[in-house]
Amino acid sequence: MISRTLRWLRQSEWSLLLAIFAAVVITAVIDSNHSYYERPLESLRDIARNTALLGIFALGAAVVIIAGGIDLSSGSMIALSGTVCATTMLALAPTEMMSFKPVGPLVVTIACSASLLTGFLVGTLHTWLITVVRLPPFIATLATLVGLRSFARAVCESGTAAMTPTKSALINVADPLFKAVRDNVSIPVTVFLLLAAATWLLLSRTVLGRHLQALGGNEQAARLAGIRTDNVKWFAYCFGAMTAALAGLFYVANESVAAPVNQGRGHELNAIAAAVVGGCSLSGGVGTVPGTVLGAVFLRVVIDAVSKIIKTGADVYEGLIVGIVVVLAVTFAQAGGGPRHDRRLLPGALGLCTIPILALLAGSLTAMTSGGWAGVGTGMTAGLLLICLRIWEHRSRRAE
Amino acid sequence: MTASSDIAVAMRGITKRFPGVLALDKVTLEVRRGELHAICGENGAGKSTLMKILSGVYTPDEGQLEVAGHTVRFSGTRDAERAGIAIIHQELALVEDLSVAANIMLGREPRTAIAGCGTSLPPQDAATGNPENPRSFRVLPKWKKAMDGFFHGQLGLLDLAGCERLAADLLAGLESSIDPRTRTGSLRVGDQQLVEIAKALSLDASVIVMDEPTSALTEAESARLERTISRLREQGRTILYISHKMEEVFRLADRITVLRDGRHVCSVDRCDTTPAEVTGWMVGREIAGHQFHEHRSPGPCLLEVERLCLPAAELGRADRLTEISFRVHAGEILGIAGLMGAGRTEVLETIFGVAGDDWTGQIRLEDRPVRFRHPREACQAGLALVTEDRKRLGLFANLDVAGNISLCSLAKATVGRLLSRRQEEQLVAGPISQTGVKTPSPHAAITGLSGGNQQKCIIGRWLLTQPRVLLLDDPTRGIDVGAKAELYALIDRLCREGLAVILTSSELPELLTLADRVIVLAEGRLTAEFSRAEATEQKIMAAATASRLAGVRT
Repeated sequence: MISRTLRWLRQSEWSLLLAIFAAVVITAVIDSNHSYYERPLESLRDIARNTALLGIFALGAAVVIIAGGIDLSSGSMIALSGTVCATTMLALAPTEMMSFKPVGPLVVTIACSASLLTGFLVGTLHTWLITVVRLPPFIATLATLVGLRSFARAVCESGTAAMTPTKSALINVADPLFKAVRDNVSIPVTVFLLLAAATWLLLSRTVLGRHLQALGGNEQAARLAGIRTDNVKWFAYCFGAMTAALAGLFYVANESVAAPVNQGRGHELNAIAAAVVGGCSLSGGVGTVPGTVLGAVFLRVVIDAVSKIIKTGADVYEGLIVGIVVVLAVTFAQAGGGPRHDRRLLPGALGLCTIPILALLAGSLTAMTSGGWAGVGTGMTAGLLLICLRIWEHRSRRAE
Repeated sequence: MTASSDIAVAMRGITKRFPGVLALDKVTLEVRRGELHAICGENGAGKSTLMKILSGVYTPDEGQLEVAGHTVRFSGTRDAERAGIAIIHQELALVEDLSVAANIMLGREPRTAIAGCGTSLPPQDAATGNPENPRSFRVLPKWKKAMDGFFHGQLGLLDLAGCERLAADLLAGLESSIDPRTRTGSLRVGDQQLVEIAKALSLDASVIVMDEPTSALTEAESARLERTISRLREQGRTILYISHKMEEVFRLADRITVLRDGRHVCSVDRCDTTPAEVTGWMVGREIAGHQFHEHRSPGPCLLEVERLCLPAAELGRADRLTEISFRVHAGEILGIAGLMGAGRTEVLETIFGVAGDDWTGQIRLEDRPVRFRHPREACQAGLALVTEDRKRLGLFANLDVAGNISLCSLAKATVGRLLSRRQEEQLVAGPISQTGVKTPSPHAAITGLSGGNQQKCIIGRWLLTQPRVLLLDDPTRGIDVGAKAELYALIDRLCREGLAVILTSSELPELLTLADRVIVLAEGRLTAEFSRAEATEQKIMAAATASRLAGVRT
């Protein structure tokens, strides 16, 4: 029985689970406001909401990555989806929208469907660019990453110019249905869990899922094995874009506004990071849904932990944390794959130059969060430790 | 007992473990200076691993290496190169987008020094060789070395002309007229191999390791390689030669070492043994030569190809295929012979719908004209293609054995619309036993299997689709002797069960062993057709080189 449960997750996923647990415990202990003790429900709600929002399109990113591609455009897709939703509501019910009255479930349904349809169209566009125009996925989705956000803003501005007295880059969304989603965290979480279950079923138990893995593993061989690789890609990119569109709706609900300029900015990288931390390989073919879910939870827990501990706005350090977490997680995953006893962290001239960089990073971070002298101290300590490591590595190599 | 100074390379008690596998178990090998030492063994016997240890790619877990009497430790290929050991890998390791010259001098590019200090070139006597003292690099203090490098070219510009001159010299020494400025990827495999050899020569290596150099070569190219080898030996270089081909080994080698399952079986002088004995040591049993084609009774015509033409992929090149016609009957094996680039693969790919839609001519399957635009359509019509390059075009390293086999027939492994693990296991159990795949479990990693077993998995994948026509593109390339014999028996059995088989091969004996009829291609044209009774290696070679006699120097 125990072994069956253990098998359900892979070893790397168990270590991820352990890391999540450790991050929560450390935060609970260090946080001087003791928010995890005193307001556990509130903290849980925060993390759950953020995880669900990130997780929804991280699943999309994971499917694209497993199929051997990459989708850099999900952040812009989030913005476009929100804008399309809000603009559609504005077009169908302009007076209600402007006076912050309910627009009615029918209009909301149409607007949300329009957003999801936009996701499908963008995914199709990606597939066309990649399979017919033969752009590399990185280039194709880089173009839409830049282009879609600008397009979303244009839609928003011309929509508001046509239907309201003033041109605006924001559309407020005050429908009670959206408010209900914002106030009831169980809705995004349920949607996320259902989507995760469906994706898990797709990848591990369907023919299409197997074809996705085959495509990511060896595209040419997949085609020669009679798999319609273009269709499989079509599915993958549409799945990626539509999950981002779905997440976009939740972002609109969460913030009560569709803001194409800033909504979802940079989130594509968080989604890719969650997938990678969860064990997806960027060369394709490898990755699981439980891993991706845990990757998303881990990212959000660590970001939350830092915001609780540092107290200043977490958004300032969010990118830095995601970066460090990705580096550490992938490094440990590689080390787990095959430990090399002769591996050195600070070899040669490159190692020498890395020592001051890491020391400076540690020092300046401490200086910004806990004052100048602490920063100087931390920087020097880190530098000394790294120099010791370097000397030790040098010695032990020579000893061999 | 030989004096230790005669030993060029000694490996003593080498053990290497990979996760779950003991690749080498206390292997000891002594190679005398100036000899050609052949290393034989089935795939997975540890030959390549041993050579990778010798050339610094892997470090051994136990045991020691001696080069010219000194114990050495390599922590990378550079160390091995400096000790005078160069390896020509089985899988060519060239940068396709760089020129031939750039590939040969990669990492040791000659530079023009700054401030007009003249040109600093790497060892110039590469073509003449100086095997007496392979490790004559100067021992300088570190800082002096750095200063030296600084003024003599570390910051200088790339000496393109010097680079090309050196490369041209080396290639001329190998009786090749390859232009050093050609993009390497545009060369044929045989020529790419020559580039690898030139690269090894440019290192002035005294010990050259060749890992199955002829596995991708045509007969003419192999002959040229053999002449190169004898020239290298005249210069006194030591050569370690890995090969499956007994005939070749016995023609070239002075001594033969046999490895089996990571263990050293024996090292003998060539004169003291026979090919049958060596093959027996390799597989641990004797293998009888078989003729498989006897007593087959071909049925009705299944596949008919008429005046098949395939235009060139790029403008300004010759057509890939010109007016090719042939037919295959049920229960018959049709062999397609031809040099590399003659169009063997193109014929199979066009039939299978890989080449797209721009071919002309007619293909009839059981008298119905067919035109496949995607492999899927060919697959549904009852065709199967086992591709040439197993790793690149056949295998899914990320899927397990079962996943690799069931891939084309997943619909049969579903319950409702969902895949069932048990159903899949039952599905693949058939082909696993039919083709004789040796795997610990259907869920083992496919990459852990030997080449022969991987190939059986891919054939098994296609057998599950219940094809009527089986296209096999060089199915035994890079597969060891024992597995080859098993594959021959399997192909013969399938043919007797009524499949029409088209088989291409880069080895003529293979075609003569298996095929009922052989057609020969040269430069995309059909130049001859032989029944089994008429076919001989000489006749086939003559037809394969028919229209390109001017291009092949013998």
